[in-house]
Amino acid sequence: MAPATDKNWYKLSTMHKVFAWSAFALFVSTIIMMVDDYDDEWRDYQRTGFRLATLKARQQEEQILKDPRFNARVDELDKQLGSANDSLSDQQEQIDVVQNEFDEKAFTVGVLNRKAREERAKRDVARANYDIAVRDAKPQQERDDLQRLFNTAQVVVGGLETELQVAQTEQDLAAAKLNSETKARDDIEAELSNVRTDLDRLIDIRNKISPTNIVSRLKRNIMELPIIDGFNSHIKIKQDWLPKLSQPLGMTSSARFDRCRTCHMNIDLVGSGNVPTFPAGHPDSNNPEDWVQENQFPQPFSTHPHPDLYLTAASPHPLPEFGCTSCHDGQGSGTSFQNASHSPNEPHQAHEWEHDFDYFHNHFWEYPMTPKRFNESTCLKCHHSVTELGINPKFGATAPKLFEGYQLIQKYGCFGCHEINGYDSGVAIGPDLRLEPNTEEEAKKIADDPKAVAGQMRKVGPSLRHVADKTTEGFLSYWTEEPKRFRPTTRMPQFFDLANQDDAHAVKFQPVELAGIAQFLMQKSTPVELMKPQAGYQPNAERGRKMFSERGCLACHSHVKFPEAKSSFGPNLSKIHEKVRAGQEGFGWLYTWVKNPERHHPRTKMPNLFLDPQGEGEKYIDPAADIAAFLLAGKPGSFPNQKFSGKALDELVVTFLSKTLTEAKVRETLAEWKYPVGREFIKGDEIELSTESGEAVSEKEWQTMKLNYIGRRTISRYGCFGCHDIPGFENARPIGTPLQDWGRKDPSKLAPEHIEEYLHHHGEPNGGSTLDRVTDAIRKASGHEFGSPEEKESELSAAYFYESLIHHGRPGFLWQKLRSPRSYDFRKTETKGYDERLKMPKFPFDERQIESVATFVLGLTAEPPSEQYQYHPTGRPADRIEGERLLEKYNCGGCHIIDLPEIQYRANLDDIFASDLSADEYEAGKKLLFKLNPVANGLAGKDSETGEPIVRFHGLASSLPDPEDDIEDQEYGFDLWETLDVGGKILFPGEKMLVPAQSLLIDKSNTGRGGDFARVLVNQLMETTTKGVRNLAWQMAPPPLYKEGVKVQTPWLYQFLQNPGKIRHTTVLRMPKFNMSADEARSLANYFAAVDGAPYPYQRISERESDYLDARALATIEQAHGGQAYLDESWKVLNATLCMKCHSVGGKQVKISDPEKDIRGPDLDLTAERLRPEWTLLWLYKPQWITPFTSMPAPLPKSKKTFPGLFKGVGGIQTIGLRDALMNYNRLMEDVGNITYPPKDAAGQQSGE
Amino acid sequence: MRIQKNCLNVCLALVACGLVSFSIGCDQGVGGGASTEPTVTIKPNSSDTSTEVASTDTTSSNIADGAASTGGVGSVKGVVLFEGDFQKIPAIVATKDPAVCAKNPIANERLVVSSGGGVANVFIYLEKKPKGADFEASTEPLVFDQKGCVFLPHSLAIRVGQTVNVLSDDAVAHNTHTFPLRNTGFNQVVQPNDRTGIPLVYTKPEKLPVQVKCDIHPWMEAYHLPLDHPFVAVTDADGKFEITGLPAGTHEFRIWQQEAGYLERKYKVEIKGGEPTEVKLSFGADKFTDFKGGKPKSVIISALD
Repeated sequence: MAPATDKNWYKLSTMHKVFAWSAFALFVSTIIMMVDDYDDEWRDYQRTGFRLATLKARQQEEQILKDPRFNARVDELDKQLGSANDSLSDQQEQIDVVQNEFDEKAFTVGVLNRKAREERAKRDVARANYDIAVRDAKPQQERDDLQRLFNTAQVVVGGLETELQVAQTEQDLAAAKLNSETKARDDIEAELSNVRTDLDRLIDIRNKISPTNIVSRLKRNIMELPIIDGFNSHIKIKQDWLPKLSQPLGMTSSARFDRCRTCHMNIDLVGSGNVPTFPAGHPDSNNPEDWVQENQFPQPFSTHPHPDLYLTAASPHPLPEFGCTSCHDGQGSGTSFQNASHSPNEPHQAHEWEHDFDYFHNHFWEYPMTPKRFNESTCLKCHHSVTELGINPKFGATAPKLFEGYQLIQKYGCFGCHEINGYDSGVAIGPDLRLEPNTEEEAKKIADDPKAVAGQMRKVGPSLRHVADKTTEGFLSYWTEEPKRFRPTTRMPQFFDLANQDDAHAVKFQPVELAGIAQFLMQKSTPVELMKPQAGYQPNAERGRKMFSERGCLACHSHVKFPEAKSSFGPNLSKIHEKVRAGQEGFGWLYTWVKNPERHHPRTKMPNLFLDPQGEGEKYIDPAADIAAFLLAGKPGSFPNQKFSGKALDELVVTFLSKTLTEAKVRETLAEWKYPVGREFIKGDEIELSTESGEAVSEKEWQTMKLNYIGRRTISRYGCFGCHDIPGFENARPIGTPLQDWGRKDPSKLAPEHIEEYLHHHGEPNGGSTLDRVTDAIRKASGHEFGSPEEKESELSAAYFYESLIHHGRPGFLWQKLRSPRSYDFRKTETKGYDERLKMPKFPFDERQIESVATFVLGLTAEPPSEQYQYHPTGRPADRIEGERLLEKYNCGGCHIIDLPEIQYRANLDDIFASDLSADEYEAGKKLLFKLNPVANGLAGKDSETGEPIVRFHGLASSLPDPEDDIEDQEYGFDLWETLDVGGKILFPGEKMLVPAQSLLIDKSNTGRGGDFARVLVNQLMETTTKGVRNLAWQMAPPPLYKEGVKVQTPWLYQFLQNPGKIRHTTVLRMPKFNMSADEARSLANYFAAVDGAPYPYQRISERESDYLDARALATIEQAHGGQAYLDESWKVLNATLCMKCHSVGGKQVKISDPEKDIRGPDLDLTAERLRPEWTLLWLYKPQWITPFTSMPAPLPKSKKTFPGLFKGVGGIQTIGLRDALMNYNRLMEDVGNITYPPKDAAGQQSGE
Repeated sequence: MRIQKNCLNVCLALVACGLVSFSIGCDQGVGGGASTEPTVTIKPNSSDTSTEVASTDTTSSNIADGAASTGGVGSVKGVVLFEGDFQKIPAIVATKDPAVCAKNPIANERLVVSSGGGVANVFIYLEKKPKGADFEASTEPLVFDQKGCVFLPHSLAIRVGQTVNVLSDDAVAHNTHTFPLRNTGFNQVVQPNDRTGIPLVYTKPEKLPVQVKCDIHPWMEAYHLPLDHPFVAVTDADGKFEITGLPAGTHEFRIWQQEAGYLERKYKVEIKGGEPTEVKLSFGADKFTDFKGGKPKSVIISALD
């Protein structure tokens, strides 16, 4: 090895230059980096944010200081403080003495405390020494010595502690004395600081952000300097770390870091009353001072809307737990506008952003922020039951668009083809919308598999299993071709005559397909046993019309003869006479269907309406027959069978067969009229071409078989069985793409084909170009040229979807798919086989509905966050949600009012008087009312624009304005249904509320729910039956379900829902029997108790227990008992001459004078199982408090001795006795039986009447 | 001047029989809808119930200033007549509590016409009190009785705040149920033979007469009209009425009958100070088949056999 030398192999001076330059370059680049770093936009936002906070605080301070009440109070307290201080200074000498005394005592306590601490330490040492000696097993002597030392120390400590206690007491006394001298002043000071709390807080905030103190200001400015700002400056990145809400990144997932609050720093600032401190808005000015003035703040300075629902600690989505991107998506770690992956809501906004923020669409971030129009989509990640987002007692409809999409999908049955599976191996991943098992075997298989969950949805279309009984082959093909042609309101989509069926092939083949479907359905249809009216019965169409309108048909169906009934739950029946078979065949089918729908379709939602024949002899009426006659009055339709050429049929058969057979075999099949494969080996639709025997058939038969094959093949291809029960398709699977993760579908897998070209030239219903429409919209947006906000919204929405589609986005693809599903075949039909063409039908959605459906489908990501974030409620909320689903499913709100409307009006409080309760109200009754219908605040807590207070209440309209009156005299009358407190005046239910028509405030958000049919029926009955008396008409209509949970016993409701018996005799219709499972009945029964806060599922009826009855007996002996057994005497009250006037009771049928006019109450043997005891008692105290329109009077008023011989005529005790007799009805019927009170005397006359 | 309303008068109260025009399954079997021309015949009343009941007291009216002080005070008197044919209908047969209710035949009082063609039980009233006028409520309680399962009187004008004492002279329980549009409803059991009564007070004036029913005996029906002024009359058995104490000037009266609804909605009468204005109103049968205002369209004209 060569020895080391100091010879340099490089030139030192050059080296120095290189170092110098590179050091300089490094320095410059560091400076550039720092400058660039300090130029980040978020720093500016934060500075502006701090400035806004200062301005806002100052504005609020000024508001407080301007408030005369505040100033008056402060002045008053200042004055009081001054005089208190004055009086204290007068007694200064005395106070000084007390103060000295206190100081002395405090000094003594201090000294003693110190000494005691010292001595305690010494004692503890002695104890420890002794303990060590014990541990080390030292000799007894040594241990005794050590113990003695401890004892001595303990004595000293004890003495000192006693001394300390005495001194402490003396000090406390001195302190109390001192306090009592200065108490007056201290209290005033405390009150003053209390009054000034808000102000002081604001001043604190302001001083912190923009200090007036020069040192503080300097310090704050220094903290903003580079490098120093690394030491916890106020200008810094704000980060929410959400390790449990992980974020999928490629194949893995990582914790979520949201830095959104770095710019959106005011996002969670709310003031008292949960009011956003910086309300969002679009101020015109760029000056923050103007924003504060207008109280409108642009992004990113505004506060999140709905603080009751989002971000705040008390809300269900607190910011620290949920962050931002879990709902909004986007790149949480980004700290610039661009990096955060903001998404524009429409192209015009994108252009603005490009200009203002250099925005571009970042392809590299998979989860860009959801644009505003799809904000609601992400709710689906956690809210799998969806319902709570649309119907929510606390928050209202929080995601209305998403909920509408969900309802549309349910209503139109999208899941029949596109399964939305909410479970992955039994684990919940999203909303679940799947068909229920089609066969018993399938249901059993699922039940046996612990990881499988059965679907719940019924097929939305009618069963076609017995369709030949109902209609003709001609009608079937006419209908299938274009359902809207026959019934414009139908929900059935259109499969034929669409964009990809206008070429020569389609013109040739489509009639064959239509004829095939119709023939197949007719041939496979099996007959059902149809019912017939009694022989010789002449159905009366005019009576049928009345029955149709009164017996509940209009709750679900509409009909041209009843334009006021608008329900679209079931089909419009105006043209049913054209559709069903002509003559007796069609009548028989409709009669059977109306009378017993399950016979034709076991899973139908159409209930059994109990349209049983009534009356005898000449008065015999068969309502079902009359209704059928009414519906069939009119000309039968004429629908000839579809015409097609035999050649086209053969060509189509060849097209399909060549998928399964070789060309030669296909030729052979057609030539020999026989399928070349044995029947047992055929899996597909070709089964229609084979026979049991395998022999060739006649030509005619072969023609039929070929057409059946085409029919079956077409049904298979179009997936008709997704909505209809069709024989032969029991095990068929949905044909469409599953949608449960469509919201994350890889856009490269979408096939837009030639859609851009298509939309360039076509795309609009009027034949115009979508591109032109969109270009026009963007131009109008730039020039603010839109005619209305609605037009702007719809046109820019179209522009958004168009742009998305052109950029191969999911939203755009979906939009066009729903607008014109076959347009993706544009210029593709030329190169595709006929059987390869797109099959998705066109649904009758408008663009707004399409956006709702898209909002739902885009939210289907199958990426649920961890369990703790998902909303899987239990108990009442869960039962409420399930109940809401069932209310929708069975259209309960078609007949019943579910929620009473809330009426709001500008009130003159002087015109409102507290209810004048006559002396006849029982005190106990009032108490019970306040418990079962707690007092609601009638003041809305806000004033109208004209300064009058707004009063709100729940009630039902009892009279409408008379249009012939002068406008200022027009008024609404409402029956109040709740107990109301209007500024201290208590109004009881049943009170008449008069609302001048001009003062009524129309708020569409709170018009109540349900009861449309009941209202139509009431108006009709007022015309035909009750001579304009609305209350009587209401008694004949389906009852509102207001506080139903408090009223009925849950087990009773459960069985009633499954098998409803007749309760009310006043109603013109009966509760129908729904095709409902036991589970569903249970859920629905629980629902009512859950929403009303009543106990469920079981209720204890303590009125039947001996403890209760003994106590009642004792109480009544003291007050009123005449010596008889309590229940026996109560039974007499019930069976006395009053109740039986209107009710069947105690084995005695009520006497009827005129069944049309008599007000007959429910039979009282139903009460014990049906009604809750407290509700029953309140009902007996005052029925009008529960149902303002009832005819039932309070039976036993306080001021009258009704039955002096029972309970000494004390009405209050008789009322409770009545309730207890009702609750013990069965037992009393057994023990005492049918009695009359008062008993008949010898002459057979009833006394007392 | 006191206006006496004899609801049923032995000699004069005559009856109209009805046609069911709207409801299906009509006993008479006459169909054809609301346009059918009703025919009416006169039939003497066999009932012997003749009860003189409530009256409105117009003498106590005190018109503070306004019209009265300028033009004096006048009155309007007249008669409401029915023009056309009658047809009888059987009396109501009470099947409920027959021991009490079926003792006497019960008149169907939907349209009561005298032999002279006068229509009883028609309300003629000013909808609103004249401007500037104020009237103290009468402290005299009115009596509203029930006898033989019939409300007495059938039509009763009441002043707001005035007590109506609801009585019963029947040995069965009734309930008195009102269906007002502006007042809170009243529904009370009336004990058999309750002669002390239950107080019923209307606190607000109504725009239309209020139907009163007994739910236990569904044929029982009466009408109350509470107003905050005394300018109201109910036609007597001869169809006659008189309203006094009216300030001079032109007034618009509402004329209302239970079967017809509004006979006139704004019937103008010019009142001159001093001499009474006489009016004669006659209405054809068609008026009673086509309801307007707060009334339904169907009609049954009927009366006592």
